[in-house]
Amino acid sequence: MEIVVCIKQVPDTTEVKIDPVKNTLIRDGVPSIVNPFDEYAVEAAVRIKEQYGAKITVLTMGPPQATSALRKCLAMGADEAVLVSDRAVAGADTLATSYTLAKAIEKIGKPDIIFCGKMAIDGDTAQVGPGIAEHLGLPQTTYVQKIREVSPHRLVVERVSDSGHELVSIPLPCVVTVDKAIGEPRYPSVKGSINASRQEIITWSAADIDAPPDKTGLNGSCTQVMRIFTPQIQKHNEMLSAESDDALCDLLLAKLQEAKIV
Amino acid sequence: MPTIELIVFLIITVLTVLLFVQAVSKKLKFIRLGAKENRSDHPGKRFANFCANVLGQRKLLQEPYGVIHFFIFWGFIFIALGEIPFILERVFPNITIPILGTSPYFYLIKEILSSLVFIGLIVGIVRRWIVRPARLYLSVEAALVVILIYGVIITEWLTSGARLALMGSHHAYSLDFIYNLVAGFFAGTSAESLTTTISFLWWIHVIILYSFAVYIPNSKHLHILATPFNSYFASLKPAGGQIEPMNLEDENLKEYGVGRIENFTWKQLLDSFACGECGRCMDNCPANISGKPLNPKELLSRTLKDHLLEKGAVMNKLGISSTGEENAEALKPYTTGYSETAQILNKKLIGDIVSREEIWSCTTCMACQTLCPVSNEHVNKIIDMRRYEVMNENNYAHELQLAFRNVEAKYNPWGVSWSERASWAKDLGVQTMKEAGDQEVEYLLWVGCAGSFDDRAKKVSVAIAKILKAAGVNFAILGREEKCCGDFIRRAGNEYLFGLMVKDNINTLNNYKVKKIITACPHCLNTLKNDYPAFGGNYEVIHHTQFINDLIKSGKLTLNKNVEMPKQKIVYHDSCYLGRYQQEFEAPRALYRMVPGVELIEMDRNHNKSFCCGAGGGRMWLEEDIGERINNMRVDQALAKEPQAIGANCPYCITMLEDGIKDKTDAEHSVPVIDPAELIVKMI
Ligand SMILES: Cc1cc2nc3c(=O)[nH]c(=O)nc-3n(C[C@H](O)[C@H](O)[C@@H](O)COP(=O)(O)OP(=O)(O)OC[C@H]3O[C@@H](n4cnc5c(N)ncnc54)[C@H](O)[C@@H]3O)c2cc1C
Ligand code: SF4
Ligand code: SF4
Repeated sequence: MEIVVCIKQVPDTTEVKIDPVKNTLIRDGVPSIVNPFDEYAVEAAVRIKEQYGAKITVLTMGPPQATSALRKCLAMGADEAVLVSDRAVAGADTLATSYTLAKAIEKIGKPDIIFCGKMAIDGDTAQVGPGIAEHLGLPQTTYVQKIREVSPHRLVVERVSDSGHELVSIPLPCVVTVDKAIGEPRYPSVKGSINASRQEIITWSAADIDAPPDKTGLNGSCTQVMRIFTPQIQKHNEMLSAESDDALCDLLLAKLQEAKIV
Repeated sequence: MPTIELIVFLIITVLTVLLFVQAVSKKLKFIRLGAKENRSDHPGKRFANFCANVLGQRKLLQEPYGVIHFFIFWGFIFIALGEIPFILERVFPNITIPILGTSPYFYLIKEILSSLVFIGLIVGIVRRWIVRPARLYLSVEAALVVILIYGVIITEWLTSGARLALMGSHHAYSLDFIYNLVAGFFAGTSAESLTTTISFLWWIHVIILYSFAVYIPNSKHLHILATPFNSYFASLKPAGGQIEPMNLEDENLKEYGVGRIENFTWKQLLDSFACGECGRCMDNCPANISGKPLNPKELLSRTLKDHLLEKGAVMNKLGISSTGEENAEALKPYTTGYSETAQILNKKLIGDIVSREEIWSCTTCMACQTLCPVSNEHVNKIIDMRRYEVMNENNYAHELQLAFRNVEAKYNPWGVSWSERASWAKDLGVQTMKEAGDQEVEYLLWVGCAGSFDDRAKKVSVAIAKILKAAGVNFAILGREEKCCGDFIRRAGNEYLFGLMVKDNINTLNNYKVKKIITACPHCLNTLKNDYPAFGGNYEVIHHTQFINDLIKSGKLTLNKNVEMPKQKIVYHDSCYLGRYQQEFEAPRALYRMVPGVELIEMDRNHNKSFCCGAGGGRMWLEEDIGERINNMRVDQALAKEPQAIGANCPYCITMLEDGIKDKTDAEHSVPVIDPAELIVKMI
C-alpha cells in the first residue's frame, strides 16, 4: 500500500503572542512546528504501515526550512519526504496550494490513501484536503476519527459531522482528513530522529512537477490576504426591565430591531 | 651454586616467567576486546598523575587507613628490590650488585618498611576478618595472598640472617636490625649446618616467591599490576568533561552507546581489573546507601569483570572481536540452540548482566570517581549504557520522555512556554543581549531553566540580579533566546537532543561574542564549561557564589554589616556539581560567614564526601521508587545538626532538600533552605 501524507509547517501558535500596542502577531523567534493535526495524519499512516505494511511519503509545500518538519515525520516512521519549494509557489491560497500538492502527488505515483490534517492551525480553512481530492478526481472523507477497516480496495472509517457520527465506506484511492481522535502521535525514537536527520529530502520545483506558473503561487490564487488583524470584540450589556412580561417582550423586540438583528 | 641446582633454578625461573607472561597476556586479550580510545597523549601529565597516585598514593593518604596501604606499597617495592641481590648473589656468587648489594642504608630502609608491612598486614587482617567494614569482602583469595606475603618476608629474613651468621659480619647488612637479630639466633651453629639451612631456606623462599608471581595475575590481586597502568591512562579531562561526544553524522555508526561488553573501550575494561575492591566508592554512593540496586564497586569488580571473563573467553576461543550485527551471520551456528556457548553469547549486557534499575539509579554525583584510589571511571560506563537504552532501544522511563519532549518543544524540561523565560526579571530592569545591541556587555548571566521557570529558584535569580546591579556589573541575560543547557539530557543518555540544544546555544552565545558567563546553576556551569568546548563553545564560566566573593574582595560590592539579621545556625550542603565537579568548596561557605548572626556548621558528610541531593544525572525527572529517598536521607543528615536553616548553592539541591523537609517535618519544625545570595542581597 502506498500512502502520501500532506503536512504543513506552521508557527507554534501556542507561543504566538499579540503585541498589545501594535495589535499584530509577535512572530519573532517563534519556533516552527508540524501542524498538530498533520502529526495525527502521520500517526494514522504509520499505524496502517505497522499493521498492514505500507510505504509512506510525506509531502509539503513550503520554504526550504520546512525540511525540519519533514524530518520530524520521517522520525515518526515515514519512509520518504518530498518538499515542493519554489518562488513560483509562494503566496498560494487554498486553491493554488491544493493544485500544487495534487501535481506533486501525481509525480509521486498512485497512492492508495492521501492523508491530510483536518485543518492547519494558522490558515484554519480546512480546504486543502478537499481541494486535493477535487484536483485528482478522488473520493474524499473528512474529519475522520477512527479507521475501522483497511482492505486493498476500501476503507471503513468513522467521521464526525454536525449531525453526529457517520460510518463511511470509501473506495481506494481516496483522500482522508483526520481529527485528533484518530490517536495520539508518537514521540519519535532517538534512533528514528538520527536516521531522519541523515536522510535525504527530495526537493522539487514547480517545473519538476509540471505545474504551470499561472496555476501556482500568487498567480494561481483566486484570493489574496490583504491584512491580518485581531478583531476587536465590543461587549456591551444592558439589563431590561418593564412592568409586565408583555411589555418586556415588546421592549426586547424593539431593541433587537434597532440593532438590526431581526 | 652446584650445577644441578643451577639447572633446576633456571628451569623453574623460565617456567615462572612463562606462566606469568601467559597469565598476563590472557588478561590483556580480554582488555583488547574493548573499543579503541586514545589514552597516550600528554605523556608528561600522565606520568605526573602516575607519580602522585601510584608512587605518592595520593588518594589513599586522604584516609586514616590509607597510610597502611602507603607503607605496604613502598614495602613491596623495597622487598622486590631486595630480591635482586638475594637471588643473584647466590646464583652468581662472584658478582656485586651496586647499592642493592652494598648499601647498609638500603637494607635499613627495606627492613623498616618490611616490618611495617608485617605489622600492617596484621592490622589489615584484623580489619577484614574482625572489624569488617561492610565495604570489604572476605575471601579465600585474600587469605592466600597474605600467607604468601608472610612466607616471602619470613623466609627472606631467615635466609639472610643465617648468611650473616655464616659470614660473621657483612658491611651491607650492618644496619639491618632484623638480619642481625636472626644471626644472633643462629650464633654458635656450625658452618656446615648453616650452609645446609641457608640453601634449604633459600629454595623455600624462591618457591614461595615464584608461586606468588604466578598467582597474582591469575587472581583478583591483578589490581597490583593493573593499577599503575590505570593511573597512567586515567582521563586527563576535568571530572565534569569526560563524556565523549558521539559523531551522529557518521553513517557507519549504527549502534549507539554500549549494549555489549566489548563496546566499552579498552580503558573502561581495564578499570575492572584495576579495582582493588577497597569499597570507597560504594561507601559514598547515594544510590547504594539508599538501597538502590546500584553498587559501583560490585558493578566494576564483579558484574562487568565476570561477564567480560566469561564472554571474552568464548569470543577469544572463536576468534571474534565483536558480537554485533555485522557478525550475526558468522555467529549463527554458535548463538542458536541451548549450548553453553550460545547461552553466554546471547546474554544481554543490559537486562541479563546489569539491570536497568542499576543504570538508572546513578545520580552522576561523582563520589565514586573522586574517591577511587585507582582512578577508575565509573560514571561514563553508566552513561554509555543509558545511551544504549535511550538512543538505541528507545527503552526508558515515560517521565524522562516527557522531560525530553518538553525540552524539544519548549526548550525547558518543565514545559513552560519558552516566551516566559525572562518573566522573572520583568521589574528588575535587566537588559537582554538583544536589547544591549551594539553596547559592550562584559558578563552574561546564564539563568538556566530552573532559575527561569521554577518559582523557588527564581527568587535566587532575582537576588543575584539585584546584587550584580548594586555592584555596577555590566551584564545581560539572553532572555527568550536561552535554551536548556542540556546537562541532564546528556547524562540521561540522549546525546542527540543534547546536540540540538548545544548547537543552538553555542550559535546564540557566539553570535553575541559572549566570553564570560555567570550562573547560579552548577549543572549549567559544568556543562557550559566542560561539555561545550568539544562543540566549539569556549567560555569562562563562574558560579555566582564565586563571582560575588570576587566582587566583595575587589571592593566593587560593599556589604552593610549593620543590618539586623537573625542569629542562626546554618548547616551547609555541598552540591556535587560545584563541590566534587569543580572542587569549589570555599566560595559559598565564605559568603555565609560574612552574614552577621550566621554560624556555619558542617554535616558529617561534607566536601568530597558530601552526599548527593538525589537530583543529578536526570534523576530530577525520574520517579524514585526503590529504597529510601536520597533527598530525605540528606535532610535527616542535615537536621541531625539541629540547624535553623540549610545552606545550598544549586537550584536542584534547593528543590530536593525543601521537598525532603516537607516530607520529614511538620510546619513547626520546618527549616528553610537558603542560597547565600539570598542573604547577601539583604546586606546591599
Ligand atoms: C492568516 C492567514 C489567512 C489566510 N486566509 C486565506 C483565505 O482567506 N483564502 C485562501 O484561499 N487562503 C488563505 N490563506 C492562505 C492559505 O490558508 C494557506 O496558505 C493555504 O495554502 C493552506 O490553507 P490552510 O493553511 O488553511 O490549510 P488547511 O486547508 O486548513 O489545511 C488542511 C490540511 O491540508 C494540508 N496542507 C495545507 N497546506 C499544506 C502545504 N503547504 N503543504 C502540504 N500540505 C498542506 C495539511 O494536511 C493540512 O492539515 C491564509 C493564510 C494565513 C496564514
Ligand atoms: S556517580 Fe554517585 S550515584 Fe553514580 S555510581 Fe558513582 S557514587 Fe553512585
Ligand atoms: S572502584 Fe575504586 S573505589 Fe571502588 S572498590 Fe574499586 S578501587 Fe575502590
